[in-house]
Amino acid sequence: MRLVHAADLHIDSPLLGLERYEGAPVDQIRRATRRATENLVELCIDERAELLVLAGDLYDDDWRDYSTGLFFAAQMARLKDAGIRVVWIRGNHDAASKITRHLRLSDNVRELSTKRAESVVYEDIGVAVHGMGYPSPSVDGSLVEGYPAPCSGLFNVGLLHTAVDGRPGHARYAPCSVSQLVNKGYEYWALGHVHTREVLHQDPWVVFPGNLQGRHMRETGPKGATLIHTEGLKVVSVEHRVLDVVRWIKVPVDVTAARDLDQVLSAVEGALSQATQAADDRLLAVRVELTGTAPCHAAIVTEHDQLLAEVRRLGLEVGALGAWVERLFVRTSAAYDRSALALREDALGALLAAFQALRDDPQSLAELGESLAEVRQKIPQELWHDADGVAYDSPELLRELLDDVEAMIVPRIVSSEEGR
Amino acid sequence: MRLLRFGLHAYGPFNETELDLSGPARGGLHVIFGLNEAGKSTALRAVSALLFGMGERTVDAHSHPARDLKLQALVEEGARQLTFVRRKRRKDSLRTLADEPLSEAELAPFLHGVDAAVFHSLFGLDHERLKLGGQALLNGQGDIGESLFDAGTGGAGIHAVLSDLERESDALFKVRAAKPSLNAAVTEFKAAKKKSRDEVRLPEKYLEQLGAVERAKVRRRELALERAQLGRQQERIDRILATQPGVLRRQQCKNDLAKLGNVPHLPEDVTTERREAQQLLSECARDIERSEREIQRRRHELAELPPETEIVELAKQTFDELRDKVGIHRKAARDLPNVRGQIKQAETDALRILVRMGKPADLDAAEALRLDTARIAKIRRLARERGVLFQRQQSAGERLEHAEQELLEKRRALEALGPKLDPLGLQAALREVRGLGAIEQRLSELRQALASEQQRSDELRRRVFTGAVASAAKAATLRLFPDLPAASPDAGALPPELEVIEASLVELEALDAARAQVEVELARAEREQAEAERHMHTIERQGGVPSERELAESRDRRGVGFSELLQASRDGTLSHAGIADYETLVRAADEVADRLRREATRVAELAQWTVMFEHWQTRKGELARERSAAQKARSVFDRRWRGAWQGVPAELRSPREMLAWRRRFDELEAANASVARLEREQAELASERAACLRRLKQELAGAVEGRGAVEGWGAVEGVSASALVEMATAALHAIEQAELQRRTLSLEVQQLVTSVERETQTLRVSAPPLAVWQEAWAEAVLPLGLGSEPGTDEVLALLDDSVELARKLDELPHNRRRVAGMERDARAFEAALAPLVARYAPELERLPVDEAAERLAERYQTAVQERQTRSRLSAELDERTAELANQRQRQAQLLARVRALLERSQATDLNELERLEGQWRAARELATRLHELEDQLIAQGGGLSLEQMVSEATASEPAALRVEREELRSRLEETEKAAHEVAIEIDRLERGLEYYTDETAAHAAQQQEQRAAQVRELLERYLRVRLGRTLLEREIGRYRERHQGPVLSRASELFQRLTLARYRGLRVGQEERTLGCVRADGDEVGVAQLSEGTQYQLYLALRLATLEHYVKDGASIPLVFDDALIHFDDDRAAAAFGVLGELADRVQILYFTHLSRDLRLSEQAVSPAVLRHHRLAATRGASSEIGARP
Repeated sequence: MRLVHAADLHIDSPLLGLERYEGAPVDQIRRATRRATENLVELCIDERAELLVLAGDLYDDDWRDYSTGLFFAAQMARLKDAGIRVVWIRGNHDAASKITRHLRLSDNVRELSTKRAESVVYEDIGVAVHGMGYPSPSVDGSLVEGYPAPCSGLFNVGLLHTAVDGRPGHARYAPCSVSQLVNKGYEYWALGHVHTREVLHQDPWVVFPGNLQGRHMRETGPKGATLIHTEGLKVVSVEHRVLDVVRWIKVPVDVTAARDLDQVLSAVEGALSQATQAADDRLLAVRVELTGTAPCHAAIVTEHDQLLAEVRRLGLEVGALGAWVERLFVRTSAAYDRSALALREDALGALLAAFQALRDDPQSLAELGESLAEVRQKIPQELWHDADGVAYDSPELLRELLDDVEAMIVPRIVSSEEGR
Repeated sequence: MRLLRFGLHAYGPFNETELDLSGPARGGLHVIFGLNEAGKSTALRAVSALLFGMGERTVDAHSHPARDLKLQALVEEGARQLTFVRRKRRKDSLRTLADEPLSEAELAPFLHGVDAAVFHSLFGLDHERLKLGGQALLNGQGDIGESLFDAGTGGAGIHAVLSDLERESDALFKVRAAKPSLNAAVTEFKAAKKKSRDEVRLPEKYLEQLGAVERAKVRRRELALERAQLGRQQERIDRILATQPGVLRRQQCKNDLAKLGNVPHLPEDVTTERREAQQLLSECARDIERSEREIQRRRHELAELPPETEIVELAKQTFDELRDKVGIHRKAARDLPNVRGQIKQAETDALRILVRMGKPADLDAAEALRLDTARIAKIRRLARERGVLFQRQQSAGERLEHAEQELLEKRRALEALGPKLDPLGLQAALREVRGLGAIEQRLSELRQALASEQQRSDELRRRVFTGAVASAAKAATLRLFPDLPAASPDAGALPPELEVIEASLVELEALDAARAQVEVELARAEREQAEAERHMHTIERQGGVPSERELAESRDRRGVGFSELLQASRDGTLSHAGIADYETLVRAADEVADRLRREATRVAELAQWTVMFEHWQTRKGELARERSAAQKARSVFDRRWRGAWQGVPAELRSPREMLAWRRRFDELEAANASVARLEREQAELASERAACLRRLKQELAGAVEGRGAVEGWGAVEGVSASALVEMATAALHAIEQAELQRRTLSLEVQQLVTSVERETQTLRVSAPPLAVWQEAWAEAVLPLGLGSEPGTDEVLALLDDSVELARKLDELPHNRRRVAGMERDARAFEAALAPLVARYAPELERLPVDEAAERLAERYQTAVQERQTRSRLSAELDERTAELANQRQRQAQLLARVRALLERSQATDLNELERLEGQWRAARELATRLHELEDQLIAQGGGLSLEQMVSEATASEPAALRVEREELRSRLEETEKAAHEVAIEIDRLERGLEYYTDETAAHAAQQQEQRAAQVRELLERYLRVRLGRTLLEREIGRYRERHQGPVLSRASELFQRLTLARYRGLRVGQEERTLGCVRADGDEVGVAQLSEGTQYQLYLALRLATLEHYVKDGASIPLVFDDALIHFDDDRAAAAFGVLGELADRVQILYFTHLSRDLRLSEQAVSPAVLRHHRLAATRGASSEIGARP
């Protein structure tokens, strides 16, 4: 029997943090989550799977566009045509989804109850799937206890949307322990909710397949679904199949040896080229991070905009589809000794000391944040925080910004000194 | 830290060069002098390279390979010393003397945390950086914080950094603007967000739409049902209406059949059979009639033919031969007269040729004259050879005679030329004389040059010796040119040398300049003193100013008062008055002290102006002394100048004028020398010319003598040079011509002797072949009977006649044979024809043979044709007769067939048969029609039986049916229209559903997210710039607050010193933001109003004050200047050196300069204890260090 396990499709969820720029591969990221879903359906068909289980979060919770649901329905109809059955449960995102409420799916699709855990048994392929969907967007208690006992003689699959015992960056919904799951007596636990692929246990298998398509820089690396091959009650193989369309990746580039911007760009080009190859020529959404003690640190900082434009141009040229440069992070340090500069008794030393003092003084940081009130009023509220949701005038973020500010100003002063 | 030794062993242009900087015990000011290109700037870079390593792309690897660059130093910090080598390496560039890697940590303690950046910013200063610092001050409009900050960071142009940040910040965001990037991005984000919201397809709407689709589909089904029902009703009416005519026609058909009654059944093909039989019988009758007609016509033609004659029995070959012979006979009769004429003509021609040859006119004897072909050919060949042989012998004879005559003439001419003369001597002499052309030219030039030089000499002389000294001029001239004839002993003295006059001029100008400078400075001292006095008065007018002296005096008085009070106390004489007096004294002292403190600025200013006043007073005294000394020096010079020109015949004027006079005098001297040189050259050339002419005369005389009297050669004595040259040229030409003629004649004589010999030989060789020819010729022409030596023309003419005669004789027998043959044939033809004519046509015997033959042939032809016609007609008659019999037989067969048909059809004859056929056919057609109608009705009946249809059709009225059908049609149309509308509606609704499947909303959300990312990116950039600007401004303010006091105070002092007290110092301006510069008169000006030079001084003051602040705890590294004071005038530069000299007590200072002035000024301004001078030269392999100033 062949079973495909996927979760967190988040169809039509936009890819975040990709600032549009001249030549950016806009068309190539369109439909990324849909294309990944299509890839999932094709995987099921190509592998002649008998069953597909979806462990929740088909859509974003606040997403109301019905075309998304219709698209999903069409994909399920394709599976029906291929004789493939689907069992799914609602995740925290689906619970309140208007799409989920209204959508009519083909009869090969079975949604498990959100009121109590239930089982669906496919005698013909010897599988019993047990599970329960989220009745509301937030499920704080454990659901595992309510799951039925395993069906004797059948391959038991537990379908659960959970953070297990907590995963960084994920709400701690439907908490449970791995041992609880293991002790339930099922042959395979098909989990969802955590976007990073993880195998928590083998025999019985407890698996997070991760999401189908990374949507931002915190969801880097290959994404896809899990293909399980069983013989009777025995799991023969568990394979991760890559289905993503756009690959998110951070590309660190050590520019310690670069003496000028040309050499920096040359290093970036090499790194991007390698990354593209590693991603099998997929379109990359890439964050380039320059690191190392760079002799041309001052130029990197003072000519950041031009450098960014050049890096983006390089991005367009690598691989078959190019790369969308999400950010250019400058994490280089100057060839000068910062601590020595800070010890200087002159104005520059005083400036660096002041930066340090400010970092260590929450009160001053708060005051500094207040000085940004004018710009804050002009920025839409939902944008007044970074990708991690931290407000720009919070001391935490200001402290980070101070590093950037120092890295920006000191080279200007030092470079104008050196330039004379 | 300080450098004790600094070795540039291989760096830039330097090679093993070493600076000894160990001099003063503490810092020391090392003024290192090097001309431009001496490698001064290289040395400055070398200090940085030594301490912090050589850059990746050093410009100083031009003379040495980068790998070989080497710097070495001995440094000292307190009691520690370190010797190290710096190499250009990416790694381990710091090394020991043994070239072992040395950790940078070893050097680090000496550097006090100063890195390359700090070194460049704080410890390295050149005039360019001073200039930029000044400009930065100007750009910052004197913002005190920025200025201090700039100075504190080495002049980084903090204002420019702030301006950049401000510009970047404004480009990103402004509160009330739309264009800045962030403002624009926010607007775009909001638009994208709205679009994203608007594009969402809500599920409710979709389901609503889907419901509408389904409802419309239900309606469509209802309409379809209604339409089907109406259709069926309409079909029924249509069917009835359609079948009614068919039912009627069926009934009619049945009636017609009944009317026909019983009709016999005929074979299917009866009509065809009957018609075919009738047609064949008709054709057969026509054929019989035609055959009978043909038979009759042939019988008539046969009867018309004549009876057959006997001639037709003859063989055809006989008459063919007869016809052929008639043609031959007729041609022979035409040719015979011509052939006979030709025979006659040939005989006549042969007799005429015989007569021409001189032979008897007998054709029979003529045969003997025929010659054979070989002989004819031989005679012709010999005739051709004769001409060649005789011609050769004759030509040789003529040429021999001519050559012998010419040889005689040439020998005579050769003898007439006389003896041979040698022209070489005359040629050489003539060449020599011709060469005199250049001498003549040169002599002509010399004459012109001499005249010109003499004129120039006279002109110069007049310009040199003028006026009062004109009389002495000649004497001076004579004295000056001793090679001319001497005259008066009263000659003038020689003028002083040019160098002496130039030195005097320099000296005089220096004296005048010094005096003028003293005057200028005196005037300045007056002005400055007056200025100081004015300030003092101004301050004093504002109220009395306490002074330290006054305080001291007041305190002294208080001290005295206290002593007196103490004494009075001891003495017991203490009184209230005394105490009150003391209190007064104490108060007075306190008051002075308070005023001093309170009015410190005024006190300081008054003190400063007082010092200035006194300074200029002293200076004025010094300058007055200098002026007196200058006047005295001028008198001494004038006396010395007059003495130098004593006795010189020239009017004494100023050194500058006398310098010009002396230069003209030198020119005169040169012109006179030139005249003499030209005259000497002229004399030498004239002598050379005379000697040449003498040699030519001698040679010409010899030639004339050897030649004797020749035309044009006169006597050589007493002729002019040009005539002599002409004569010599003519003589030489004559000699050369004679020699040429002699050589030509000798050659011709030799050639003629050879010709005579050659022709004699030719004559001798040609005689034997001629004899042989004559013998052969006689033998060949013998048969012609022409005597012993007949001529070739005669023989050849006779030969041609003989050939022609033979040809004519050959023609005669042939023609005679032809005539005999023709006559024989004519006879044979007549003999053959005669019996035929006699038997078959006796009546033709009277006609000529050929005509009779022709007629006979015609008769034969006619008889043969008649026989053929008769035979053909008989054959045709037989054929037609047989055919007629066949036709009659066929007619009988056809009649039998008709009879059989009639029997079969039970008809009596063919007409009755035809009528029966009509009835039978009509019945059959009606039956077919009936079947068709019934089939049609069944087809139309929609499953109804014929009976049902008949009953349905007969039961309804067509008119009523049509009305009913019209109603149904109308209802059907309405239903269809409604169905169509529903279909359109369904299509519209279904297409509307597609709207819910497109991805616009997802795309719009993606775009919104891209805009959001853009806003965040720009926002973060803005925040960085904005925070950077805020914090930098804040820190500049803080820095100002922290350092303004001590640094500004010290900078103020330094500024006053560096501007030579033109400025009293610096002051913080209004709102404590701007820097003001206080002039000596107390006025305050902004930085922008300062002259460029003063801005430099302000910046230097700020820099030095900051540096002093930096190194106040003694931790320092060497301070390096490179021509930093280049824009300072001497006084201010000296003041700057004074300040540096003081700083050098704590910090080692290396001052690189290319101005020797700086050596002098530093020497004046700096204590010898800290000053060292060095001279830098980029010479290879040599030490560059010069002796330090003791």
